[in-house]
Amino acid sequence: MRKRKFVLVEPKSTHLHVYSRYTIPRLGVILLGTMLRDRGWDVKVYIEDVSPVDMDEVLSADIVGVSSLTSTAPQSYRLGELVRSHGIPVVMGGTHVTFCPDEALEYADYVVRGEGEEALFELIDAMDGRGPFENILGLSYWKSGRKVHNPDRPLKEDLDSNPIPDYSLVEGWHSNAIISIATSRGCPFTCTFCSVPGMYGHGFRMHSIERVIEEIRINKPQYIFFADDLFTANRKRTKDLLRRMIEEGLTPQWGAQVRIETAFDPELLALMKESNCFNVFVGFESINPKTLDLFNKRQTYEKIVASIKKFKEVGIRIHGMFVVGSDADDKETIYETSRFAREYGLETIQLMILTPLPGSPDYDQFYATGNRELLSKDWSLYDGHHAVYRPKNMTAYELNVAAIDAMEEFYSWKTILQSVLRKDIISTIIQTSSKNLLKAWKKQNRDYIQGLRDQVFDKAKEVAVHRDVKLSYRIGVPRFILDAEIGKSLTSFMTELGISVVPFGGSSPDSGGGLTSRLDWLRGKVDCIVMPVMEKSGHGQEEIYDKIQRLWKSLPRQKEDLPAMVKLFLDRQDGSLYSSMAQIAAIFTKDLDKVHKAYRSIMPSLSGNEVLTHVPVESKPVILRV
Amino acid sequence: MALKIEDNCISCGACLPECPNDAISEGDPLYIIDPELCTECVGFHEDPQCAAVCPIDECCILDPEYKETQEELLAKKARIHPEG
Repeated sequence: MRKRKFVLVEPKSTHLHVYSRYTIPRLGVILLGTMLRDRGWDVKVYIEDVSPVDMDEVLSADIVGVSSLTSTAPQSYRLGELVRSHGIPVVMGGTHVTFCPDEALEYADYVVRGEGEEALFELIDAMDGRGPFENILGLSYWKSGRKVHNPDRPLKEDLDSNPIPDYSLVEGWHSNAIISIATSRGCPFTCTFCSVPGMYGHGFRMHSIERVIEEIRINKPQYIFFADDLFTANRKRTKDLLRRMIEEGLTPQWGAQVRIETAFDPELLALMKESNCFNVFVGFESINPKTLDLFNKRQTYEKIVASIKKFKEVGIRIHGMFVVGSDADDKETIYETSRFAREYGLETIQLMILTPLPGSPDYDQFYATGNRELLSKDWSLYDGHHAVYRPKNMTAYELNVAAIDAMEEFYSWKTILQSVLRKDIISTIIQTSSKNLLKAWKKQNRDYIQGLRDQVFDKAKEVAVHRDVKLSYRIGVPRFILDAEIGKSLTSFMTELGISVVPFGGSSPDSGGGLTSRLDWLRGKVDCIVMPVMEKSGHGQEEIYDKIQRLWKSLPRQKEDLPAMVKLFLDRQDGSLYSSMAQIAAIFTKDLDKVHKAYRSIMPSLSGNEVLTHVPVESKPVILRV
Repeated sequence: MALKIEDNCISCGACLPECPNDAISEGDPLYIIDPELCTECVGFHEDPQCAAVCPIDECCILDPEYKETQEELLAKKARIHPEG
């Protein structure tokens, strides 16, 4: 009898990213492929980062499984759509679709939310008519033209009952050079940008040490990447594992993701070194203490510095992982991070742009609730290298440019030369490769960056189109706005840039004459009119909110011959205020550094402004369903 | 000396199953060590196990308010585990 065929695909990102040159395979499709093979299926596993997907194989399958991250979701959906058009059922899984099952079902017949190793086999049984779909926990599916979401599945406790993932199933896999081994799942921390606890839980579930040792023995890798979310979450158990590796003589080079606390346990550090730890991927996240707090990272700048020294003392290489672009960061923070990494001699770094990933507390709190706006819903941009939201203290354009430029500053010839002089061949190779990668990234993303820049100069272009005289370097602002706290900050900001503020109207929109006549009066006197926008009336802000609403209502319909109007967003929780102020400033100058500097000078006064007060909302996990 | 859990505890619960004396309980919002039941794992382990598994630096620490000698800790252990 012909074996039934299951093809599993892990599509790759369409954009270059920090790991483009170094494939560290994710384990999901390999594990599921191994389980399917053990149950008699003809299995093909494609990890697109390893080798191209053979569509003839995919389209000859009985079932196709697609694993998706947020940044690979568009690719996964394209594949799903194509496979379905050939009448082949598609099952999707992975982090992204776990939190966006409605979206994914547009391109799949079934979505397995959360961990898939049990749900997939229950699903196959149901597809074969051996059990109802209704009972499969974690499954989303179509029923009579409607999307159905079964309750979530509890996390798998007995990890050892899973087989050891068989890499030989991966098409094009011909090297045991780098192998991922997961020794645990879950992370006890709650960093606000991270979707790991949403997917794998806060509980720390572990494979037995025996099992991990067996996995190392079978794979005989030259380098192991321990694919745990936090390899040293349970230090006692990590020490036990490392001791066993040493006892068994199974000590290939290895690396893992760790927190800084790892460095403060001398016994652990010594065991790491003895067991041949090559490098640690440390989640420093930020050198800005305020950002560390916003991220709920629970670590301090001082301890970051101390941990680097400890790792260096024992000769373990550090890959510093940073997330830039929080509400407490500005451009300078990003360049400062790069300088910090050079000063403390980190071998490699990644400066990832804060990205609202579905499943993260940030996404649930700010974006799923509509409190903050996403600049793009093109998930392929959600890879940490593209700004997809409005940061608070810079424009999205500046954030994106700074993140890439600061990485380029790190991977400079100077850094590379220092590695050469230290005779550190591996760092030299990685740093040179990263330098080239960044150059290629800039080329690939030129249009995207230009698009972000164009948004800043949107109004400048409009004004340039409308005006037939030289700039007067004056802007019109409603008098009642100038009377408020924000008005003082706005005036200071404009003054810094050499721009005068001309008040118009009375202390309220209704006082003294119609708005039309007041706007007419401004014609020729100002280059633009600033129109305040408030979306909600917060406590104590009823009066100003009311005035703003009346201002907009009294706006004349015919605006063609009036000065250009620029919206000033006062109460959005994101960086709309900065973006709108930068838009106004960009009418008068192309020097965004100067604008940024002017904004920095008024930042202290803004932090106390009630209109801009950041109101935290209680974070609850949200599964996006239409 | 008994151990105590500092307020940098992230309530991950890793310590709970490790305590040989069931001295740890889930408080609100932090986990708590009952000093009457904590023996610093004397008689069971070389190091206090709560600290050994805790993912946070300086979270499970010695409580200076409960100073005890090695003998006192052993006596406490014998009292908690009369069966030995």
